[in-house]
Amino acid sequence: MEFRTRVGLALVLLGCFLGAMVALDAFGEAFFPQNAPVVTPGALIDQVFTRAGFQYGPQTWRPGYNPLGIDPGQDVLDNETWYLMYIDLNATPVSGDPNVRKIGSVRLTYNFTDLAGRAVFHVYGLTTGTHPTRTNRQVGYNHCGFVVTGNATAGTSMPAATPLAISGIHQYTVAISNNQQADYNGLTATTRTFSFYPPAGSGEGALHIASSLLNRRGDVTETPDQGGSFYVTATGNDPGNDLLLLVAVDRPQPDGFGLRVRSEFVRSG
Amino acid sequence: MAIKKPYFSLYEIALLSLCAALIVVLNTTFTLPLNVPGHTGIYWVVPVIIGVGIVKKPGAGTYIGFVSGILATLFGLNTLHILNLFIYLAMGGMIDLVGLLFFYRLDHPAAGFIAGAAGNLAKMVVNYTLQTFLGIPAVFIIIGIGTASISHFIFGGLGGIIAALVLHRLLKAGVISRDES
Repeated sequence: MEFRTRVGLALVLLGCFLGAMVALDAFGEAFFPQNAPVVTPGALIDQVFTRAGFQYGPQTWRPGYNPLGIDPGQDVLDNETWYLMYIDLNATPVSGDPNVRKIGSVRLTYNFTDLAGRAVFHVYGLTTGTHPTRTNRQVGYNHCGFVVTGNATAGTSMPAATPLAISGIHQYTVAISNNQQADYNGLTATTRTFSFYPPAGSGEGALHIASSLLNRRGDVTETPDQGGSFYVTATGNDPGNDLLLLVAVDRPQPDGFGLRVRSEFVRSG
Repeated sequence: MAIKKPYFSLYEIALLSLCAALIVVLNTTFTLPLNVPGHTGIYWVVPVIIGVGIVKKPGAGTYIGFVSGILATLFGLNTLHILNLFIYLAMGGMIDLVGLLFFYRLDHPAAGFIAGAAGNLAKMVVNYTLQTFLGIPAVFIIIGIGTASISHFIFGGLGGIIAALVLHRLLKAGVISRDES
């Protein structure tokens, strides 16, 4: 057989292999049985937040290497005004790292009272060293998020909120709205730091927000249900060692606003 | 009594062992912050292809894989410990096979590309198989396997082209010849 024929044959074989892997990636989840998820007893946090928890805004973006939009699937939109609250979930999903045996995700249960307009959930995974802070993908392939729409009458202001300044060094220290232990950087019990490193977009897509564990790569859910749950999953090898929930609302909330958040670890492997 | 000639000469053993050690050195020295699966293939496959391309004997790649696997295990290069050996053996064995397929003309960029890509993909397949064997659910492994395959293919192929160019220059300079034996 000629040298060129052999090159062609080898490339065809490699192409077939790659095609099979892409097909496995796209359709393979249905072929592999998954263990029934088991909820670890006890909530990691179970806390009610009021509108005083929204400490940031009005602003059009959320932290990323470059500012990210807030509406799932959208870039930063200048005509929007969002108010942001960060909650430490005291949990982290665990992906397929061979060093761990407790593979699982974080189930988050929410209950809104008097929600006006739209509330969007995003997640951040805090990391160490030069690993960029993880977050769910904002736009493009496998972007995800969870949106709840309420019909309460909007409030007039958000007195506790001030806009977060865009950082030139891609690093943000934010206040969390629940009381937690001081983090690994020795910061105060109420602050956490996001560090994003080049290239732009790194860290995005390592965490996912999924309405069901049947779709671990996440999806976008829009619902009018004022109570419900979703999962935070990870598919990379480092989901971060602490998980922060970002709750963004698109208008001032009324005095009666309340959000109960409960996080649990769900073992699935 | 006739003395049985060893399969690899002393020169070949020394060369292949140096190539194996070079893999470990490259793996330790270079930490590219690319965060793309398989990107290490761009330098990992180079010593294997050069070793196979110079020695031109079946088993040369497997020997490099075996020695580098032992070294990587001793130096604790990644998380699979002694099982690393299988990953390195898979890459070496696959490059051996590709070398045979192309009559050891690995100085040709196309052959180098295929050898590098196939070697890097073999490494990926064995790595994922071992992780599944160790208890990681298959569903976690297949998530993103398409992207991982493509990145292993590209980076391994690029490494293969680099190796082919190095081999070509060595041939052109007369350091090695097409028919050493």
